[in-house]
Amino acid sequence: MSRFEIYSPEGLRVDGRRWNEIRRFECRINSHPTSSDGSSYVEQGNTKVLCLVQGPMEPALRSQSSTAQGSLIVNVSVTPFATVERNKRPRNDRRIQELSATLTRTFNKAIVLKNYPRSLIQVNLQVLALDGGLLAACTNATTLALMDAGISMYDYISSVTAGIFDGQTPLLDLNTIEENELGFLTVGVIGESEKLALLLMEDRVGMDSLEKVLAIAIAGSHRIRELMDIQVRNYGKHKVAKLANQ
Amino acid sequence: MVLSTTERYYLLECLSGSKVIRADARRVDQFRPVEATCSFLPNSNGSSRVRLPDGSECIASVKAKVVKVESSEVTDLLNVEVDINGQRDDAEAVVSFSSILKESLAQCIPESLLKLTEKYAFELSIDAIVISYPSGISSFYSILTLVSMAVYLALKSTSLPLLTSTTEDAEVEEEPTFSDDWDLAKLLFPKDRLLAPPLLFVLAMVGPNLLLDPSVEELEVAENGLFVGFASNKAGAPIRSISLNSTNNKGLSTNHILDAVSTVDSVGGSVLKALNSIVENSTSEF
Repeated sequence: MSRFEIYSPEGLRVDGRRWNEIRRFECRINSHPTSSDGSSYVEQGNTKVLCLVQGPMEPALRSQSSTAQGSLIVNVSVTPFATVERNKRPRNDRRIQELSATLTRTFNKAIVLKNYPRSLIQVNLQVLALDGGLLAACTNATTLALMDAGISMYDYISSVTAGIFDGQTPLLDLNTIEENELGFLTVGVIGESEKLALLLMEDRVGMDSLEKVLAIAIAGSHRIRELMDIQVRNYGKHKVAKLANQ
Repeated sequence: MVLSTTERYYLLECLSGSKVIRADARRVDQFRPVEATCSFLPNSNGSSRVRLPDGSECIASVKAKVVKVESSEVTDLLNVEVDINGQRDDAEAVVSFSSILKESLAQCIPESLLKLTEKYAFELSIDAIVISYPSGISSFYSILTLVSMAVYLALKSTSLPLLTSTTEDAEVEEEPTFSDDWDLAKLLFPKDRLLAPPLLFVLAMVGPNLLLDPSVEELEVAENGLFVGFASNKAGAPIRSISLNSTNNKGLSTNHILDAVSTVDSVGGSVLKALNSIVENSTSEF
């Protein structure tokens, strides 16, 4: 049994949210204009992720170049100070490798790769602070950074986690404490549709509650897409105004 | 970065004459503008982010942990790890940066600063991560200044919780307890004391001249390099020659070394002042 009351009878969670509320979501686009082609910074609650995109560029190795379509490489590194207890992960950590494989698979389908033959797009993700929703924050950061790099994509991929409490109440956007206690899944939704580009479920979630969890996860993703869209449009306006002044 | 013969010759002429003209119109002892912030990681006791205009960026974090002391060596209580994005953990630059920083820190941090009680002490884990660096960089040593600034700022902004239990626990079995009010936390390096973490300055040698904070192009024509430490308001150890590129290498003369020390002596104070003002003006979000 947990030390924490995950969901109180009054309907409040450990951090005071209701069941259908996401955490504070803040994002910035083009945070590193000089050092990369596209960059973004995402804060989802206390999870902080920095994403730098290089490319499309000429690949260093012949094997990475394909005449049919561009290739995508995603590197994720979780800094040793990301968690409360310092924890240095080896470079070939299985979970991290799996995470980058999942992200590569998702974005291979989201980017119009046929526009970039013989080119390489490299995505570097740095996790600065970790408090649940790692895959979700990485997905959102990658979407924003790819947009900033001007890489053509079919639509936004917005992502959030959702879990189930007591087999009845679905909870949206879990933090570490809740992730450790509950069965949860991560979804990545394509734009404003209800189609999923990404679904990762590693714990047990009852079949009967799956529909509820998915519904709230998709609704949460739509909200995150809105928030990202506001940021992207603001940045676009700002850039156009700058160009007009010149 | 690959320079053409003409570009290289032009730069060399400009930089090695009696009147140095740098490509970005800086004085020989002038830094590029540095952008920095402190205390932005809630999970760390101290953190910093430093950015240079060429896109190099370093994030540093300091985490403290209470440990039982077995020996009285400061080196056992310091844990410095540098990570350069895209480089292996056993790459030469990564390993040497960690050991250079650890050694220079161990000389500047007295054991009393970390000691908590007779039996317990704080163990500091200092992590510096170089997120990006200019793509045509010829030697990683040129980002040593950046890394040392990030570590300096992270340590300067480190605050530790206030101890509420007794400090004399040699006889009693008692584990240290802390006040849970973060407003009472005290800084690891108090403002009123002269004590400060060390800084390392990289200088490039071109002809008879020494250039502080060399840019990517200047590194390419540098004939040799040096780094000089700056601690307790004067330049000093560690001083070491470093090669800043693989093409040209000429010997350093005594004058170069003395010059380097006096340059660092004269600018070090103002760099410290600028960095300290960043620490003082940053408001912790937590």
